[in-house]
Amino acid sequence: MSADASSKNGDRRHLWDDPKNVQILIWVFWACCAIVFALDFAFHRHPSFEGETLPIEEMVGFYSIYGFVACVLLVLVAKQMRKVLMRSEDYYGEVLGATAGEPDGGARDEGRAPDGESREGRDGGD
Amino acid sequence: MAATETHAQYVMGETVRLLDGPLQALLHPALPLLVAGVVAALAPPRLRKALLVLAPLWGAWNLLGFTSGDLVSAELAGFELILLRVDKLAFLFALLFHLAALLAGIYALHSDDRMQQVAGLLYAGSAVGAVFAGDLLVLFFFWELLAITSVFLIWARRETASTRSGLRYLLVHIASGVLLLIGAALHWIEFGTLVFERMDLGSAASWVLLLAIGIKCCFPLLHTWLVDAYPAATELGTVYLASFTTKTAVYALARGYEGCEPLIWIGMAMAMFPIFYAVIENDLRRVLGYSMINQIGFMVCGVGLGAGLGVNGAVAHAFNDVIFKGLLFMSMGAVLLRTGRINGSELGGLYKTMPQTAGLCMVGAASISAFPLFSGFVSKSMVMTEAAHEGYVVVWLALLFASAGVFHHAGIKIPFFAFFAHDSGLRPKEAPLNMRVAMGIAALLCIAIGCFPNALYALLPYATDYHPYDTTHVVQQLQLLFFSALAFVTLMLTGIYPPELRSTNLDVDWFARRAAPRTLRVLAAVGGAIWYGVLAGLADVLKVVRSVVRWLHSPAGRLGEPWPTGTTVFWAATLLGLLLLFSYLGSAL
Amino acid sequence: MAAESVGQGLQQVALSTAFDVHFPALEVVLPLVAAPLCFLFRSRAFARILSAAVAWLTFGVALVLLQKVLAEGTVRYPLGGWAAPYGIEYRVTVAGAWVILVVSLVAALTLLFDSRGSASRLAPERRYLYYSAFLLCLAGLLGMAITGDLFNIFVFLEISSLSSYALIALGRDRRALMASYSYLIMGTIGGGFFMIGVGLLYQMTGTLNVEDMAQRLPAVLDTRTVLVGFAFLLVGLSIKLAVFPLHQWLPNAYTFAPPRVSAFLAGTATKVSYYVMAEVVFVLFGAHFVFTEIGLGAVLMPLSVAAMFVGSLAAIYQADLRRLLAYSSIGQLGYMTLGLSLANVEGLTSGLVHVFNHGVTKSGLFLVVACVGYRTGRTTVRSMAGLGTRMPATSLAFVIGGMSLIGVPGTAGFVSKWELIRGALAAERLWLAAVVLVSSLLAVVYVWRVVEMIYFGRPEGLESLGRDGEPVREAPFSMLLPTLILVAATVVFGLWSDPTLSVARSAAVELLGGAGG
Repeated sequence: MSADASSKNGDRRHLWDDPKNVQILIWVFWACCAIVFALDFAFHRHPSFEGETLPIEEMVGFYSIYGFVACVLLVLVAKQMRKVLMRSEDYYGEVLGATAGEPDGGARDEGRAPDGESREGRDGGD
Repeated sequence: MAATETHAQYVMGETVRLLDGPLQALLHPALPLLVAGVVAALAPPRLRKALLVLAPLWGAWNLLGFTSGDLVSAELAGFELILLRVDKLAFLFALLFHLAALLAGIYALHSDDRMQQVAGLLYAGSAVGAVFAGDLLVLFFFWELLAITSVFLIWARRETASTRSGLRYLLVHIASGVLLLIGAALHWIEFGTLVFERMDLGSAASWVLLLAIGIKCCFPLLHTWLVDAYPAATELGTVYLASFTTKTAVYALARGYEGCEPLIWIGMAMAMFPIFYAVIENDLRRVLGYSMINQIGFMVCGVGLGAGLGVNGAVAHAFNDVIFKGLLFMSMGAVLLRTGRINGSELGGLYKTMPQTAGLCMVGAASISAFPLFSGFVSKSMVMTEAAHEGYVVVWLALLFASAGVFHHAGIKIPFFAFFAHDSGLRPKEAPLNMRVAMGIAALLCIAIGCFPNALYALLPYATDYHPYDTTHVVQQLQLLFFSALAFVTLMLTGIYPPELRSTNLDVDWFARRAAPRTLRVLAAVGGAIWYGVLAGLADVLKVVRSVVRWLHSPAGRLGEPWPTGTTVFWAATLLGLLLLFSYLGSAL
Repeated sequence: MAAESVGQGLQQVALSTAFDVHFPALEVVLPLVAAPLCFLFRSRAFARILSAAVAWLTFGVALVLLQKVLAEGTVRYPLGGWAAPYGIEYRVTVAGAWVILVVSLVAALTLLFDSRGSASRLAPERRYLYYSAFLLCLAGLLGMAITGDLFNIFVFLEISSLSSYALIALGRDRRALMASYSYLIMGTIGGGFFMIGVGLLYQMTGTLNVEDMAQRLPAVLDTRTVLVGFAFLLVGLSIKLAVFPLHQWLPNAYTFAPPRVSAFLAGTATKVSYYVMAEVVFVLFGAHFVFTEIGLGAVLMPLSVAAMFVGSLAAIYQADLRRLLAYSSIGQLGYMTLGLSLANVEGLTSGLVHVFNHGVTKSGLFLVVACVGYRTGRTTVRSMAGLGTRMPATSLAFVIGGMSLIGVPGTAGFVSKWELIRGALAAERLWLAAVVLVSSLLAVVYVWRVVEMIYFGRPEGLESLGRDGEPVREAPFSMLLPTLILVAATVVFGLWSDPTLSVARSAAVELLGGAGG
């Protein structure tokens, strides 16, 4: 969908404008994950803790699972936090950038589409 | 947790070399930067730019003339002040600050803003002065100078919101300075000395000083000034800000509280809570601010773990953090400069026109995430290893969680939402050349330190034979990071990941900015009501007093009435009687 | 008296260094002789120049005297060559020299102030009378601090009081007459009480010389007569010193007097009475008798604290600037008597150093108000609205003077307050130190009211026009100069407090080590 925006702008197509490239990247990434996970079987690891302090650490895939679960948990908890903590941007009556001048480099002049058009594609993930 | 050898012994031992003779040709290490700052205030733009780059180089050259054990003291009003005390700890930080000043100086070259250039140089100089301060009074001086000089970097944005944010920042830091002064006074009373050395928690001075340092160090609940002020500064200001204030605080902590166990738990809390905020924060520089607190958490933890690997890890991580966090702030600054916006919700797709900035940003992201071969890996792992070695299971698990979280918000979120994600339609120019040079040097340093950590290790305060690159360690780290990324990708593809939204997320400064004023208003109303109630109730009793008071307050019109003089005469008589009574009683006894 | 010798004496000043033995007499005689001269010549210009010259001369003499006293100890001068217990002796102590220095300095600077336009009720051609009275008042105040004879103190007290009644009555506002009258009654009662006290003591000891009496008093201390005498002396002085609750003559007197008179009296009159009270308490009766046996502290301390609060609180509500400053004076006098009532070196030092610090500050502020009054034609707090841009130097002077009243570090007021807090701590009265700090907050309020008006207030309607409908401008240089000197002194001696503090401290040590007890 961002492809639409850029083609409207008339500039050349960039690397990730092509969904195929993105798909390839994701596949490569999954492969990497699998390889890294598999490394657990290839090596004998020495544990961080001495003795029986934390036996679970020596479980196969501990670090992989811990990383995955931690991040999912992180996002889910943070999402719930929004319900409590999120307020409008001008909650404190002051918004950064509200009185700012034109940015340096003239990004708006040079290639930026009119506001309405460029915002249409905002909800999609690449 | 016994600290076997403290810096105190190291410095105050036999190696003290009082500076005199030929060495006096050397300037106090803070002077080159401070002098350059003063000169820059008067200099024309070209000279100012030259100073921005040359002053840190000159300062570093000057610094290299000092060795551990150098000591310069002066006497002022009966106090023996230690203006300069050099040891490995201070030396490392000073070197780091010069490096940071150089990078920021190069990064600043495109700008002509005298205010920021002058403030930046003076600010860097104050930080150098602070780490070499041998006693609490000198430290206090530079501590306040840090606050005063740095606030101009926030005000330099010249917006209402940043002005107010700067005022809050200044207030907090002045308060921290005042606490430091109170702590110094208490220290003087309790121990009869002002020398700044390792202390044990227990004395009143140690707690007050910990609070003073804790404010600058962003201890939980005291941290909001950072996430409030750093995003409010200019694109250049934040680069300066990120390098000095908190690192000076980490230095002070390492100097004074090495091996204090509460710091481990404080550090753990600091590493944990900001990552949640970072996930939902929209302003990408504020995300970096939260991530900064998280990184400082690792350092505080390391200091708490004590002499040896703990402090080494903390210091090394501070060193790396200045470089990679500086790099990230620089890249976001470039984005802000070129697009005028910094919210994740408004950015995206910038890789198309700012590919170099994007690439450099990703180097910084990889470093902060502690990817093997990048600088974060070689220092963060020291703290983790020491935590495991000392048997802190909970702390270790929390730090592991935080490591995954860092990668998530700083390593992925920052570059992804700024440079990739959905196309915002913005097509800004590539960052100015000087910015790219500064970022390039920082990125090179990140990789160089990551690949050849021994150069950094040699500078650390304690001797070490730590080897970060063993197979287990590398594999574990890769697993952790890849599966964190997997979580991100999965949540993104399934749409569970929370979208970037324009918003303000409440933090504990809500209590100061919202709750306190409201509570005060209510209290004032209640207090006023009670006060008037009491007044009304006591009116009869206080009639005499009140009439006097009312007479005092009344305008001049009563002059014609004779009674004021009469009253005074009455009081004269009363006083005379009272005195006579006293005299009589006194003499009767 | 040595009046005849003055003419020759003045010539000798330049020739002979040995002449300085006559300085104690000269200090009093100069203004005393100049006053009738002003009257005789009946020329306003002559009177003005003569009075200013005399005031500066007395200041010079005071400086020499202070140096001499510090170097050689108490300077004695038997008038007419009659030895001490029989004749009248002028006795210059460190404290005395310190006080006359302040008095003559303030007099010299206020007389330098060019009081144009409004000043007094007198027709311009009779203005010389004003200077006559001014010089008499100066002579009386200086005499009180120099003489070592109790009756002589009374005489000088009356000289200064009578001339100050006249001066106050000269104020342009009709209410000045009533203020003067009210002060006259209170002053007469105070003087009368003082006289009764002196009489009773004379009856018991047979001497009027302070030192001599101090030696004879212990023998008769437990008699009722001495106790009653002491009480009369103290209450009499308290009236002159405007100790709460005997202060009510002061605000009106300072408010309605001519501007320079307010500035002069505010900086000097009460300060001299303070010195006399310190001498009576510590030298004549001795601290042991006064504080341990009679327990004066139990009376004076609460009254001082009350003065600090009542004065400052009342100042907050005043609409007139001079009245505001007058009430603030009552509060500041409370700090001084509090220092005295602590009866230790630090406390007394704070009182004595405040003689200088407050004298300089308050006179400076009254001169500021005189400048404002000259330009705007009013002296209300409202009249300061927006002066920050139109009278910048005057406004800044008020801000600095106000900071000294509050006791902001770096100003003279801080030095005294800091010493007072040290005194309270030395006396192990922590609560007193706290009370001093809290009352300083009240000063913040009344000073801020004015500062806010200066910089944030907007003049409304006709208020933007000054006296005679002209736009308000900065005060003329001849008015600004003495004002700024006084205000600058508060900063100079706030930052560089060694000289003032060390003199005050040696004066306090001297007083506390005095005879009796």
